[in-house]
Amino acid sequence: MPTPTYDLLASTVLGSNTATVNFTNLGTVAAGYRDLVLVCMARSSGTSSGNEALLLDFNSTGAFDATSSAWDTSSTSSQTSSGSSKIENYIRTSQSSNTTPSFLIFHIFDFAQTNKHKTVLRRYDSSTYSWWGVFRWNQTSAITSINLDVEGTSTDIVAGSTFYLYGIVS
Amino acid sequence: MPMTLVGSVTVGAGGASSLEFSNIPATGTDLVVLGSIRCSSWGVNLTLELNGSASNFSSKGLLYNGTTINAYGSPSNWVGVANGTNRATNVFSNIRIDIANYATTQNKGIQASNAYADFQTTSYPSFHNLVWSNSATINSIKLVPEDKTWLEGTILSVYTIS
Amino acid sequence: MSFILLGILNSQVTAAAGGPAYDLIETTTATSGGSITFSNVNNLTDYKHLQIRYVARGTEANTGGTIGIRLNGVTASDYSSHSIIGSPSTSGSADFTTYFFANDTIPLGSSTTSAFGVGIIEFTDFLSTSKHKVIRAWLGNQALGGTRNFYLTGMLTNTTAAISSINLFIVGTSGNYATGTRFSLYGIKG
Repeated sequence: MPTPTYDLLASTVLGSNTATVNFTNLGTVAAGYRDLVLVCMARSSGTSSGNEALLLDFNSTGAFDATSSAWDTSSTSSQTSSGSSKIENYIRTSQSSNTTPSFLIFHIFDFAQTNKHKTVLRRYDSSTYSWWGVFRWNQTSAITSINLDVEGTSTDIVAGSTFYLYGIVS
Repeated sequence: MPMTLVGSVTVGAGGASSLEFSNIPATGTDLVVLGSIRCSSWGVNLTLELNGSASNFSSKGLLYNGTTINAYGSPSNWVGVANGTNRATNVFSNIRIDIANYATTQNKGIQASNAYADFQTTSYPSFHNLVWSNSATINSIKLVPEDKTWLEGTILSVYTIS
Repeated sequence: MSFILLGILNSQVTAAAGGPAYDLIETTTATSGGSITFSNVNNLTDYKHLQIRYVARGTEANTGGTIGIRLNGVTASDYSSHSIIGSPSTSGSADFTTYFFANDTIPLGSSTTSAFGVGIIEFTDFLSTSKHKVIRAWLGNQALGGTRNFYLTGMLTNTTAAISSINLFIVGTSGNYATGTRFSLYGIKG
């Protein structure tokens, strides 16, 4: 019997500048789902003229290995990282030439399975580049929280930024 | 509410010069467009118009032309490449467009991915990230194959996610 | 909701609007073997498009593995695959092969323990009998040991037959899918 899915599990729409966004208690909130899809439109309050990193982690623990490719309007480049405690996702700032929030999509597969590391497909745009890539969280633990904050101690995620978490059954 | 079909259109015999979805309800969070598309010439740049406007877009496109991978900033509203006549017969490009926060008063973020394929070295899988600097709620979406015609069998399906 | 077709008009609007449009059809978890098949796909007449989401790993004593895809059991040289590969930005293409593929998209037995490759594969208008099938795939493998790639792949088959089966298999002569592998099929209305 077909099962309708792609269900909104939780959302955050910032009414004011906020340091962090957290999706917690996923063992309950996302019970019965297999994959998660996190869709964000986010911008930082930073004063950099380009981009700042929106940092993502799972369960505030573990390490990430990531490979990404970027392109602007004329060239491409790539980036790899290993053993990072958080994943960097570059988003526009309040000083970017275009202040449209950056659009980020994360497909998080088998988030609660305890027999594998968690692999994520991601894609997003920043002021200068567009990015796509894959990263792996090196824990077999179920993901119980997703945490986002902007790099920099005095920088926030600006009001109006949105974060929607969807669940897909399998 | 799961992903919801808003509407779908299939081009019949005789073709169509344009495809536009209008009066999109403002009841969702994001829009998704899935398409199986072909027009009257191959390798045509497919562009997006929102609320009847092709203005206030910026884009970054990444395309593989069968030989090299290149990045592009124009057309500013570019979302893919369409298959067409004078090339492999009966081949339609496969396209997906995601539009975030379409019913908000913010500028809009758009991601498109496109698979154009034929049995020759020229093949154009491509990614496109766009910004529409317009705070209006999106109530119409139009896909334009340059000055060409959409061919019979072209399908576009529009969904809301909320 | 209305539809405007400018110019020559002879089109129709489907009547399925308004309801849930993305349904789980079936999930297969690999218990043994290196091949799984979704069968009787042509019976899914309530749907216009299909999506497969997978998490996969192989058991062969090697690092990088490839999932091959065949439709309708066709083993002839009817498939074309062209990819943007993201690490670094390179490309891959192959025409008139006996299956669709993108190299090194899943880890194998000698790769990082517990690492799996993932993918989202979308088939538009899969029941059409007048179109060659073009498939769009977004795939990723982040495992150290030489295989960490991600792909946007366009795939084309040289047949207009409706899709009746989808076979996903590990390319090569040995090795099975590892425990923890699963393929999920979703129908999308349109």
